[in-house]
Amino acid sequence: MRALKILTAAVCILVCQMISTDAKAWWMWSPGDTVDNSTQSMIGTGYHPEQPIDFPHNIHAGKLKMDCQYCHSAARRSQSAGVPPLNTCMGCHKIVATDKDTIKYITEKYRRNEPVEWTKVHDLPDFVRFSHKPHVLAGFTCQECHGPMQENVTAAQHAPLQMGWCIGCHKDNLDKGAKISCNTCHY
Amino acid sequence: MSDTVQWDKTISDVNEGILKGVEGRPHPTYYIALAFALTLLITGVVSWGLIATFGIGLSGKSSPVYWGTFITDFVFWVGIGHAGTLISAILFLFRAKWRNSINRSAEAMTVFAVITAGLFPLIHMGRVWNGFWTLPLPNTNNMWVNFRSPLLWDVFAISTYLTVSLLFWYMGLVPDIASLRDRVKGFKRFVYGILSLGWTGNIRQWHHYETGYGFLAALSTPLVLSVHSIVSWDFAMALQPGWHTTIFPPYFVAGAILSGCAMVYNLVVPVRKMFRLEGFIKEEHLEACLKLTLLTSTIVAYAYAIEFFIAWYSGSYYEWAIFRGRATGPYSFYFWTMTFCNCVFPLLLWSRKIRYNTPVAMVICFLINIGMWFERYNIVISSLAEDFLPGSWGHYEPSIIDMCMTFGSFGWFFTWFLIFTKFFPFVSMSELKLIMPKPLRRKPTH
Amino acid sequence: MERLEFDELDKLSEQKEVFAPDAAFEAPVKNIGKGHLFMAVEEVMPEIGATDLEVRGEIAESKGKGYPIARRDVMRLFSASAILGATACVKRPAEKIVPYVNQPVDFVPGNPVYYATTCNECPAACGVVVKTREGRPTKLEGGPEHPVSQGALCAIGQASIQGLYHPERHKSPLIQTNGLTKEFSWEAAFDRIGAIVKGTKKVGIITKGSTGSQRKFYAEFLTKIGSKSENVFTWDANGLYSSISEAHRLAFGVEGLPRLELARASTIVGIGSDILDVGTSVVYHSKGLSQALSIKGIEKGELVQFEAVMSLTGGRADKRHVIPVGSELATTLLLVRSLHEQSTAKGSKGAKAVIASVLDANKAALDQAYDVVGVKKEVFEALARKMLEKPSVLVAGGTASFDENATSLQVAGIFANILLGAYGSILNFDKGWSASPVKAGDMKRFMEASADLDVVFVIGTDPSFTLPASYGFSEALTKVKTVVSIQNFPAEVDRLAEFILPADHYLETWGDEEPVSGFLSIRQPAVRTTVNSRQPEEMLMWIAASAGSPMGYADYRTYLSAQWKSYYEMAGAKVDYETFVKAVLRRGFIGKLDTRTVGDLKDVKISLALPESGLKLVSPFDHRLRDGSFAHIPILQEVGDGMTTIAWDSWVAINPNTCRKLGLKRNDVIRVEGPGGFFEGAIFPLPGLHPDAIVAPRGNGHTDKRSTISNGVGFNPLAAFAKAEDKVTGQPVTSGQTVKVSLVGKTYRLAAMQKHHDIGNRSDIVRTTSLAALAKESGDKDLDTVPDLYPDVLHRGDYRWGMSVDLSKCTGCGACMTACSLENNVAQIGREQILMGREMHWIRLDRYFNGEVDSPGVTFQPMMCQQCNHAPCEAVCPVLATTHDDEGINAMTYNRCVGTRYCGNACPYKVRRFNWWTYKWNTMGEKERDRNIRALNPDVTVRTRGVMEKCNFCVGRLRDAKLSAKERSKEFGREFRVQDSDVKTACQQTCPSDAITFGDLKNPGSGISKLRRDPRAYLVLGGFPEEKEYGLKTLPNVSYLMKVGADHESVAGSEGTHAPEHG
Repeated sequence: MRALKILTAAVCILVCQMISTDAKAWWMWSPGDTVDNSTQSMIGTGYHPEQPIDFPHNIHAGKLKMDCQYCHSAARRSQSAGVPPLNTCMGCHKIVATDKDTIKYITEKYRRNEPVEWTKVHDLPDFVRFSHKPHVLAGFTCQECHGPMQENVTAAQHAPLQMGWCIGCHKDNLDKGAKISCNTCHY
Repeated sequence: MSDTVQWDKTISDVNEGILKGVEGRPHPTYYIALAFALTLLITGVVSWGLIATFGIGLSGKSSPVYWGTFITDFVFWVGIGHAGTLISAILFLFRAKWRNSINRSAEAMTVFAVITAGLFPLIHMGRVWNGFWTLPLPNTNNMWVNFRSPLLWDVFAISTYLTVSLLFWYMGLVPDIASLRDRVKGFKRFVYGILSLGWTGNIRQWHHYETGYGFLAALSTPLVLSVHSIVSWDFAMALQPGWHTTIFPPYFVAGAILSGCAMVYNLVVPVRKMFRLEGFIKEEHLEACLKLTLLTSTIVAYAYAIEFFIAWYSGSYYEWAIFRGRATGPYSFYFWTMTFCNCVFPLLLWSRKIRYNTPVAMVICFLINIGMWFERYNIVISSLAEDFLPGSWGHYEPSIIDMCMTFGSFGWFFTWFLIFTKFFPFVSMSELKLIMPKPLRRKPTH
Repeated sequence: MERLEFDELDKLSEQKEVFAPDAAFEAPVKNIGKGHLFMAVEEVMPEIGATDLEVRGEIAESKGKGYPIARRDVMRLFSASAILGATACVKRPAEKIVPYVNQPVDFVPGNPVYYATTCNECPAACGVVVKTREGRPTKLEGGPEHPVSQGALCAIGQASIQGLYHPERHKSPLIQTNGLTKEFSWEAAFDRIGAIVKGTKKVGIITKGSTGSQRKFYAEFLTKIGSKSENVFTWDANGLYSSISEAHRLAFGVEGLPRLELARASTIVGIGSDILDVGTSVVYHSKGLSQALSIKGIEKGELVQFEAVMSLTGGRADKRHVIPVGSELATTLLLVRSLHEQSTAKGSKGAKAVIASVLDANKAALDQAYDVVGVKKEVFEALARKMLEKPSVLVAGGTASFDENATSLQVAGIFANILLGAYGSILNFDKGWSASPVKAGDMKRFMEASADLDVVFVIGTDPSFTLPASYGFSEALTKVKTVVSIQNFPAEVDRLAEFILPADHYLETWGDEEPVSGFLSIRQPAVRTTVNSRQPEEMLMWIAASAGSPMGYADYRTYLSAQWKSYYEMAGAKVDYETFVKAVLRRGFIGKLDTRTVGDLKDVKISLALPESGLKLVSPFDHRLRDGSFAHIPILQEVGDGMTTIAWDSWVAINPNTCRKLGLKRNDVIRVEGPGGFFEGAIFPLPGLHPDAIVAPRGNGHTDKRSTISNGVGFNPLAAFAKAEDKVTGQPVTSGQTVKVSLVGKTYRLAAMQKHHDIGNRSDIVRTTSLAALAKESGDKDLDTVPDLYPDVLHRGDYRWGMSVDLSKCTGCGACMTACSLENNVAQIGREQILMGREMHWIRLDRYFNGEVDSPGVTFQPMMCQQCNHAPCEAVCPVLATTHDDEGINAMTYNRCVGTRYCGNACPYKVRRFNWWTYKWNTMGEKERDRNIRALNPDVTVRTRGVMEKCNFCVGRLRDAKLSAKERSKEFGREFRVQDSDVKTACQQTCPSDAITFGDLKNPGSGISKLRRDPRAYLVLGGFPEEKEYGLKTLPNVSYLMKVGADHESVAGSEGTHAPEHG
């Protein structure tokens, strides 16, 4: 009897998964599998989500020739590049272009002490331990992975971010200290 | 041997007698058997569903006993799959006539057994949805498989074996299907027509057929030895005491043939009853099969003995401890069951009377199959449970799910086998005709 | 200004005579000197002083719902929902990035921030460095510079992070009126309590033992509201504090605990001592003992233990004498007698006279004591001679500090130590002694005073669980009109309370401790309150305020900084006070040792009564759960008791021979009937116990639904005890009462992680040697050249990581297991999974008995992945999920694993762990397998169902270290390599006995290289290279150091203690 219950439960779970998962592949019906939760195999190059405001990289990095690390200052110091806090924006935009709607928006946010919630674009699976620091230290430019941001408005996924792509580049840069052992990224 | 067979039928009865079963209704016991097999099959499917949904934790395994009944079943079924090719290929090359009456069933058994075996590595995987990673497929991750791993060798060994034995079996079927096609009407005729690949039975076709058949036999002969040797390397290549021995390949092959022959006997006897084939599968043939069983059982007994001797003689403490443990430790029950079933009971077959006493022989063969399953269980579990560091020792008892999977695998096997017996000639008519008397000759009387 | 501040701080740190232990300080793990802790304190901790007015306004006005935390919660939520989304197996939602609004200037997202604070789990007050990520504590480590912890931390300290995030903490103030529990706002609660307090002046406070300003503050509170200031009653179930302190008051007229510098001792005699289990300061004493017993040239210290139970201390002892329960006092006096007879005995004439008089008074008893104790006179004499040759000390306590003679025992100990001349060198009572965290007899005082108390605050302690019911505490409390229970986690006493006020966890609070007089150890918040809780002291302030007599402090911090003024003068810093405090906060401690003159031994009397025979019940502290205040922490339940390896259970340990005599088998449930009541529990036959001892550990058996973790686990042995008090102090005691045992007829499987208890004649697993043999040894060992057919092992990388474990240092305390699990997100799986043998510990403690059952030798062998260079597991994985990297590490790639588990079979050490289910984080929810997302280490992948996992030498830490080395190289333009001090694995970092060493084998100067060449070094299952027998030839990078027995006894044991699970 109990076995029967469990069975029905199992079937229901499986069915729900088939429905709820956008299972492009049947092996994504793996219950409770965060090791497999990569959406990368599904969403690849060109993934370009909506953002709360269209931050014009092309103006800041392109026209004004600002250094990427002026805002993404954590890139050379930690694993995450770091999206700038609002006070970085307000550093200039207390004065600059205060008439624009977007600036009004962030000013309001800043006044109300509310953070802006950006949508993550370059989203690696949870089992990949990528760190910006060594790549910046090794002297790679942001564009090599993130594409010509100085020409785009908001970010879109430039590189495929597949393991083959990582390995390829690592193999080319062994002399720079790049490693190809598994536990460089997976641990 | 089969020259002295007391035939009471002639080749002219063959088609009629054998195809009756296929066209007419078999003995009611057939349906009972089929129903039983299907129930088992369902249990198996259900338990696999549960494992896939909730996790491999449903099986009773633990650390250090990472392998349990699933691998036991795997090895067991690969073993069963053995006798088929042996009987059909090697005995064919040796021109052992008695094989002709049972080779079809043996080959069928082989194919289905190997299919069954092939399932278990998947069932056993922690993340079966990634099972395809064990195949050398090009991928975007620049990842490749590890050709040093015996498990990978298994993948190749099993698939090769399955392919070859499937071909061998099907090729043998073609002429019979053709004669079946010629007897039936309508849709059946259409299906059998396709399956018989336009066989007309003219001399050219027979010529090619014979050549091809001989060729396939030659091809599959080494496989008989290779497959189970490779399976045995799954164990022999690991460092575990009780696994890490060179005797494993021959020992496994012998064991496999033993269980295979026993299984053939267990299958043929009832089916022979269901389809009323007593006239075509004679006691003499079955008896020959039992002789083979007896032979291999003695080989296995020798292997057991040698294994023990070497364990002691090697002077390796860990090795000897494992074997002592097998005989006296927590798993001694399995060990002694195995010894009695595989080495002691088969000795009864020395007596001709018992060889011709079908019920008793059935029991013995049944016991042998149990014994062989326990042998694998014994090898897998007892070496893992108490190996090197006493601090890491554990204990294993099969969980309900484990047992359901095991029975399920039998269900799966028998379902296929019974379906086959219903729709295809269970005895190779074309080959049977080679050894049966011509109708013109008077029946020998004495 | 900044610069000047640094100079000041450096000056402070130079004042090293804050009772610097003899060993040089280990270099810091995470160098506190560099990094965030040296930034101006506001920037590091916006919570305290703040950068700009706006923020300060924020903080002051909103505690708990202040926005910096709110933001972080948002971040957490999103990451959480991401993981949950995945586990629920819907497509992962697009992750959000939520940056700060005002990011602290020197905060780098993705980089940890470290706070120095002080552990509050026991009065030992170890210094702790809290690693926080985005404002969320993720790992605790012993303060590397802190003299008490010296970088190490015990299992309990490590685990307190799970206490912080425990989902079952009270969420808001509760008021219970006739059975109904209602949530209230803080204001309402304060108003009501304030009104009551205003009405009556009869207020009392029961509080846990503390050496800081806490007690002073409570007294001040009481006086403020017009109650008697002595109505502060301290209670700690560990009787050691009160008995030692009281004994010293009797002996010398001044209170306090002498600071025990074991490192200076050469022979240490423990009388039932539990310095490695619980003691008064377990980390400090473990460090000291491990130095004392370590091999110096051809010499090594010796620990001789007399005990009835089988404690970790006893297991560590070189020589162990089993004595009857309750005969500790007799044993001590016998030793005192032998010492006194020696001509070389030290100590003044007066003192000797006093001792002589005591010995004479008890002459008759002492003469027959030898037979009762079961140790010959010669043994004592030999021991006495040995002790007088070299600096030696006698340490008494353990279960003996729970019985009626506790104080007398300590007095006898004082006698012995006077005769040994231990005072002044090993025992520091005049310079840098410790004040007792509890006052002896406080509980007795409360029982008397309780009649005329109207309001009682119970703060951070739970006597209604830690005292036997027969003592009548709960009854006394029920008589009190209003009981206010202030706990950071639900406690038994809540049942009796009208008001339940959730207190902050110590990682959220301000505070201070004075573990050694004159030495201040500071407690500061590492995180904003995670639930709606408050600091107990501030609650009292509010109550005082609403009672109409405010205490006049803005908050507890201002009170504290007023207290710390004296240290400011002492330090003579030239900066202003605020800056000074900030500087101190960065280090977490400050101080100079107080000194005082202690008179000679006063005239004290001891009356010795010999224990009568018969089964005696002893209930020592479980070394993980202590008195039960940590039973709700899953990792501590899971680590398992050191001696029995039992997890998630209580057990009744009985000597196997006694079991045989009484016809009891393992797992039989017996009913233990004592004078006070009875309890039922399953038997674990434990070698080494006295035949008459029935040993049932405390800690489990919480009755009410306190926590899903502790609920229904084990039993509380205190149920069997009748009310008993210390003859001298009147402190309630619980030990050595006579009991009857009877079979219940049920059996109950104890979840012991180790099924087999002796080494089974295997000789190359635990190897032993002797000093004599070592003396002969010469030259360096080379473990890596092994003749085989494989190509040579090439380590192309810049490093080759190796580890060494010293078997003669490991005490089996389990701190490494805890640290490892917390660092690497190892799941806790609960009892029924452990019964199946599925424990997940990456590092396990194999415990082997050897010798005869009555007094066995014990060896603990920490067993983690050996990182073999010829790894059997690597060859067999079909999908290359486990591979060898170029630095010698055997890498495990979880996301590639398909779960064939072949590697687990191939591993001869069986150190690989398989995820049979998707074990969720810590067992903290409905099911034992539900995890708590916040308590995870964000730098380590969370494994899910169907993948193999194992120790990876904390490769994440290695990577961080290598990156910072690279960074430095870039900065200074020359090559920097990772040094020993730059990286430590979690287990090594926290080991209180320094048994584990880790480092770079390519650097010949590194500690690990030295130890791998050490004559004691060997490889497990590596055969006997000296006899050209190389075992399995797996060539591990983990080497072990042979256990050094006092004599030639070998640890490879007989089948005598063979007690397998399966029969």
